[in-house]
Amino acid sequence: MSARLERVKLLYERALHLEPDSHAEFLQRECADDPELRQELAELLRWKASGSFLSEPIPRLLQRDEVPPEDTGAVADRIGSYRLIERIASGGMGTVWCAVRDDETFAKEVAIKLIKRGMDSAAIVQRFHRERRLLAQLEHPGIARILDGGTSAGGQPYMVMELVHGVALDVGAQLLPLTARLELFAKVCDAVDAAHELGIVHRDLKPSNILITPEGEPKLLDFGIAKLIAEGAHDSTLLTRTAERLLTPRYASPEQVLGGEITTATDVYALGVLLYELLCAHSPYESCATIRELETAICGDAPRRPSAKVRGTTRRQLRGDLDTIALRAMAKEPERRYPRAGALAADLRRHLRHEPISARRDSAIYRAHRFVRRNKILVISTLVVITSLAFGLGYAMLQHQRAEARALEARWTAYVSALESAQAALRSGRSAHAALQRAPEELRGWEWRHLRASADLREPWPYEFRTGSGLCSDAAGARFALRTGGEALVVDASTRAILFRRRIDSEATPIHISADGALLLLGEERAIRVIEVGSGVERTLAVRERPRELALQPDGRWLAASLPTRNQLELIDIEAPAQREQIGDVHDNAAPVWSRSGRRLVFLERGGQAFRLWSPAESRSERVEAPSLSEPPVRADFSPDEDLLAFTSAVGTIWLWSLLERRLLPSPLRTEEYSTAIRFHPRRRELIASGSGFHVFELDSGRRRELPGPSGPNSTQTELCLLQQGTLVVGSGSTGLNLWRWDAEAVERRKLSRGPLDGLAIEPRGQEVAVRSGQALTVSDLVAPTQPATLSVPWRPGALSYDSEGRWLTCARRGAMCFFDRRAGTSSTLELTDAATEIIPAGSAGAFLVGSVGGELHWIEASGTARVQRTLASGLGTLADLDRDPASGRIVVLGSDGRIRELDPFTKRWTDLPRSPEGRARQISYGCAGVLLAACAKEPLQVRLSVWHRPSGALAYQFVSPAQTSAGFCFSPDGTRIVLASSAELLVLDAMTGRLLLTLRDHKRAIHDLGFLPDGISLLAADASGELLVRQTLASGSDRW
Amino acid sequence: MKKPIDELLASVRRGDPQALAQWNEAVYEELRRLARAINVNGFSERDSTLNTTALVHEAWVRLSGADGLSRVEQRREFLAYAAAVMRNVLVDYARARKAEKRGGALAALPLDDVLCVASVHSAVDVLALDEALQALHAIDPRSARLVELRFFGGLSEAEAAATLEISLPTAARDWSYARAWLRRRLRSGDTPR
Repeated sequence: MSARLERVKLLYERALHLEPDSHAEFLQRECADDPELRQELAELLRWKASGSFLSEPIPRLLQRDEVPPEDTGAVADRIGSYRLIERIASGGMGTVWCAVRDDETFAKEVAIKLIKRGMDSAAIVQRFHRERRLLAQLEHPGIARILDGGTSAGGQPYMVMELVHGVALDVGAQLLPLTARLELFAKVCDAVDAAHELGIVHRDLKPSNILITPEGEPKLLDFGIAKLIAEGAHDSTLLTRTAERLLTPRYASPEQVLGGEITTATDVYALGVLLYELLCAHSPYESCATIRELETAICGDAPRRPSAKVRGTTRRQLRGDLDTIALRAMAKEPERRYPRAGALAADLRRHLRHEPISARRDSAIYRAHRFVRRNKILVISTLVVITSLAFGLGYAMLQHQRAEARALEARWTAYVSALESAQAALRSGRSAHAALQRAPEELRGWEWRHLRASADLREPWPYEFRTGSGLCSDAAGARFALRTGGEALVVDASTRAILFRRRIDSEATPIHISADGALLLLGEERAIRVIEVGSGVERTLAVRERPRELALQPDGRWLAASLPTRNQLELIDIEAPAQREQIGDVHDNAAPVWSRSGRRLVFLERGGQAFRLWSPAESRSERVEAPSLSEPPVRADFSPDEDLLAFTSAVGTIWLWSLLERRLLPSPLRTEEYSTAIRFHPRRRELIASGSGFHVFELDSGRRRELPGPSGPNSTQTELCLLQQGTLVVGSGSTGLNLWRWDAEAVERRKLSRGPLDGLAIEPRGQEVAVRSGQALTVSDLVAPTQPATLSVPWRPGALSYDSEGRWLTCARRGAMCFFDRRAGTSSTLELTDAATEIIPAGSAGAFLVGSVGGELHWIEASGTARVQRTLASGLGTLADLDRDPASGRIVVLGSDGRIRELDPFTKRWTDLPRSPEGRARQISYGCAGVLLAACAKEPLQVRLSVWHRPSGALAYQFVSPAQTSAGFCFSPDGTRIVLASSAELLVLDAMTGRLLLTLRDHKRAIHDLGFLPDGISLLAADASGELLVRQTLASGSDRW
Repeated sequence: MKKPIDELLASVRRGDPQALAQWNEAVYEELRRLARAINVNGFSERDSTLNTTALVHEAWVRLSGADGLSRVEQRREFLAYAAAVMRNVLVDYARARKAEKRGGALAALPLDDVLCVASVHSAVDVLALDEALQALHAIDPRSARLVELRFFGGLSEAEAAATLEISLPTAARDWSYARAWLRRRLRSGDTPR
């Protein structure tokens, strides 16, 4: 340490022991010789840290979320006259327990909220008693009632509330169509309004405080409680602020952030944010990283319209009224919002009825527009005009609905026929793209994407040009751009259509396409042209010379342009082009590349011996040096997870730099030939490098393979770009443009055993699949296919399941279960008194639900070597199958006698559900976030699928297919499709209507088991021939789901 | 095939120095994977988000567990190392959240809570602190290291002093000096008391 620093510290320490008054004198005396030192010390003493700064280390903060010991240890098993049964939740304010009143013969369950210690108990209780009468008046079906309150023997304040079963608003509303979501939300507003009527403000509305009951009705929790706590805190300034801050900054209004007056308009603001999120599934201020940023945004930034955050049909639905309603509720000034929640509900209902909303300015055009919407039929057809005049508006509405139903029916028919023609085209080797494009966009599901993947992969070089350079593609590989024949082209990778073409002034024009595919950038002599591909609208950014390379940050803000004669990289903020930064000492072929998140930019330094990593957030750069002077690097790319930076030297060595460890990984990859282009696969840890053809390096397995396609000394590739999520590789080289396939087929066949594959279990992250076949149990890696590994089981394996984390795999047989710890590679056995018929994950790490032949339902936990076993129910009769709804935790069991019963885990009550009308079902499953319940029965010569609407218990439809055998069915992870196995065929059905959409016939023998990967991309099915078929889809930019 | 973490821990307990390095690597790998999962899984399921919180805790508890390690120096070495990892994870995460302007990151993620609580209880914006610490490191590496150990690693004053091989009074002095220095640098907006 330098002597000076030592001196600063010593003097600082000595000064600390003095009274602040004498600091000036002390400094005067001690640093008379060094005014600079004096200045520094004076400042340090002024900022001498006090209060909370750095006082709580991060690890302690991490543990803070856990239940504090006083909440577990000190809680007696009873509070007042209530007996605590189990803890339901814990949060910022305390814990919530399920309890029953002991002294009553009919024990009604209630929820008890125990307020955390540290809040001023006496003040809270006092206030509670004062407000209790008011809160007791709050009776509304949409509000959980507050029944009682007091102080426990240990001095902890508590409140007794009605116990509500349900899921949080955001979960419950997720899968509802827009109108149903709005209707539900209007009911939430009604409940809030009932409280506003009494002058009670909630202050802490958020999804977890709004539960949706199994009946589909909203129920609000904690009315009036935030106020009790906020005002009951010790210190009226600091702690209140802390308490308020710890509440829910995401839904806090400007007046809450600024400490202004809390009124009913405060709740309206929170409702506005909730509505915003329900509409577009994005938070209004989601870019804020810290609380401070969020608070600043809440008080100052105008949120973007919800419609601007979505695309396609949804955008059209939101634009206009719904944007206006949400933004009015979220106005910064309370007086500009709806005065009460009821006014917000009224506007939402007006919108649903196609009437003018109050939040709109009453322009004549707007009202006319609404009138037309309202009376669509009336405007369209004269005949209906007469009818509706005669029968009134109500009839017109009915007609409208019927017409919509007919139109929907027609669209479905068109959809199914488009799929059929696409399949026929694929079978006869023709292009299926035209047929696929005919399918109505809003109905497209997994089967459509699967067919399109098959279609894409079968095309030979499908484009009308054969040479070109400057290859680049958007992030999804849905569009690419290149220079060819004196033109710049933008091409849709899937439809092959040329979306945009334009003459360029020179073959040296650098060309770049934005990550979302919407912008094409061309570098000309003194300007960069930024062209919107869709509209052709363009603007120019002035530059001092023709850039050699262009790279636009993925979120479209910073444009990096390399200026070769100046050895500079110019960074231009394309939203504010005057805003520029120059980075000097840059190689004249700087090859700038952005990481996927846009957090980092890499480029080559002058001299060509090192890359520089630049991050726009900090305007800071870091050097990555090439390890060998004789192998100068040329191109770099980031891995999709941004762990690695790979860079290649022209002589074929690829170095990997770990961005987290900031070091070079020891063993480089080698192509052993001239490699100028490298890219990472967008989803996997694989790297492709050019040469004579293309080399693929699988980073995890260390394997290297060559892509089949043109190769040899005359086919050296100098550029590459990836299409269709990395499945297709376009290379440009001496022989022109060619196409390689990174993945060969949309249906991957994997022979896993000689005998039939009896059953499979898919690891929940989609990493591996476990398959049982005869006596053997094997696991296969799904990501980097290798030989299956055999797990030793001392018996013929039966029911098979992974836990929800994918760490434990279990396999049953009569009287025992075997557990495999996939992380540790160990296994152990548990004796059962009974034979397990089915095992499913129980939702938490290491936990399983097991149904048995003897009619018992067990909860079994595998942790380390000890296993906890609990019997949840017995005497259920032989269980054929069971399922658990992850959203509500409900468990459904199917008896071998066809009886279907459901267990509510909170009340521990069983409910009988309608039986399968005919035949005996063998398999049961929840679908669509618990909205649907489906059961499948194998009957003589046919398979029957019955689907119920769970909340109402009504049978939605049945689907019957002729079949010799059936392995049952599964729901797609998005809940919109059911795949039913029927002998060797897979039938894809629309889950809501049971409409048959597509039949997949690639299995040779009867299917034995099937399932989706959780990402919804791959469908797996195992069959009697010992083959596992993995059917994939590809995502592209225009088709996100 | 790498040795599983638990097995490594057993070797570390037996005092095998090579196992220590491997354990470091394994835990680092796990935290890194975790950081990645948190960064990338904007669309992760509700359940798995909760489980990620649990994982953070688990990783931390396993890292810092007092009875996990018999030899005092080893425990210190771990904690020092863990402090650096924790800092990296948090800073990377905060930066990602900041840079993330769109995408399905609707769900509040577990580390948001940490950042939020950090800003309330410790009056700290992690990104700004990281930057200030780098500046401090340039002129006084020992103090910067001390802050990392104590704030990001949760080491006690004595543990931190032992790790840096300095006396307790020196550690106390450095700590006080570093806090003042950082606070001046951050100029958190409020007036000095």
